[in-house]
Amino acid sequence: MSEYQFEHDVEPGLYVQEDCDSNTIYKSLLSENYPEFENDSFVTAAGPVDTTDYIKMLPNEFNILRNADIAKDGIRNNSVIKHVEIFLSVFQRVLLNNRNMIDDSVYLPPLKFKWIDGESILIEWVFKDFRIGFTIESNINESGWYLVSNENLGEFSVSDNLYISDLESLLVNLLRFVLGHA
Amino acid sequence: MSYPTELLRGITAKDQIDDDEFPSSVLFYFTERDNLPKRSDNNIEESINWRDDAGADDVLFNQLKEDKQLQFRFGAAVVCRHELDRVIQTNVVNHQLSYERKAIPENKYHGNLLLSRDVPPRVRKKISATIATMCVKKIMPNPNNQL
Repeated sequence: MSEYQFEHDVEPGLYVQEDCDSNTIYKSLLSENYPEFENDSFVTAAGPVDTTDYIKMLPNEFNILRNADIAKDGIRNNSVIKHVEIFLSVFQRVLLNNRNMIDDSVYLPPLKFKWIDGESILIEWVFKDFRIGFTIESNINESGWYLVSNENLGEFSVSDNLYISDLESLLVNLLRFVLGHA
Repeated sequence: MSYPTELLRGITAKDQIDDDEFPSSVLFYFTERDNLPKRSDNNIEESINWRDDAGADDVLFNQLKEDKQLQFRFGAAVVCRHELDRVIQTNVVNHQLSYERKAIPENKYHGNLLLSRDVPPRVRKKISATIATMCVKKIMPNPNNQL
């Protein structure tokens, strides 16, 4: 497991000012805006990461990985691909574990994958009033995530480094946010 | 220097917009290009058209690549300059994003969005996401695209 961990490398000062309290922001969002969900209703499960067959296992109705094809541009950065596969398997597990929370009426667009400069992947989940992005960098210490909304959702902006050790709880919180606003 | 209220960012590839016509962040990603000389102000530039009048749309939508195909066959994002100004002043951007007019012989509307090279790649992506989320008013199809 340790080989898959993203190193903790918080950027100093300038760039984290608006994001510095991201935990508070999304915990606040969850606690104040989602009375219909009990916190314990969302499931996390610590355990070994299974990188196999992460696409085919998802039921069609919430298979947000349906467009996952990270090698389609013909670019191979094995380090980045390895970490994307881990990311996807954790995401898949979060979706499967919480499938009962996903209302049939909610449309979940597919994640979009884009190589940037051949050295990193941007994984984006775009909704009408907000978008969530995950950046897997060739320098894995620089990987991160963000959540940005437009004025309809208060124009907030949250971001942080991406740590595999915290990934599952992060994805659960983001899924909860998505289900409240999609 | 005066600027109009809107600018256009041409869309060169289908994956720069999604099926719901929301722009991808990559539409506004700042790429360092080896074939361009480095600017003396330490910025990276991405081309735009200032929407001074209807001619800006015409020039952009008729622009051709070397192979005579439309450069922006997938249309253009209309960006609100007022919203861009607000984003520039946020803490996360902190005035490291800016813009300029830079007319060229074949395009008097041409300009650039500018981002400091000092901004780390992960933050660049977030700034691109912020522009795509907060500043885009709509996506315009290219009326000349017959495909």
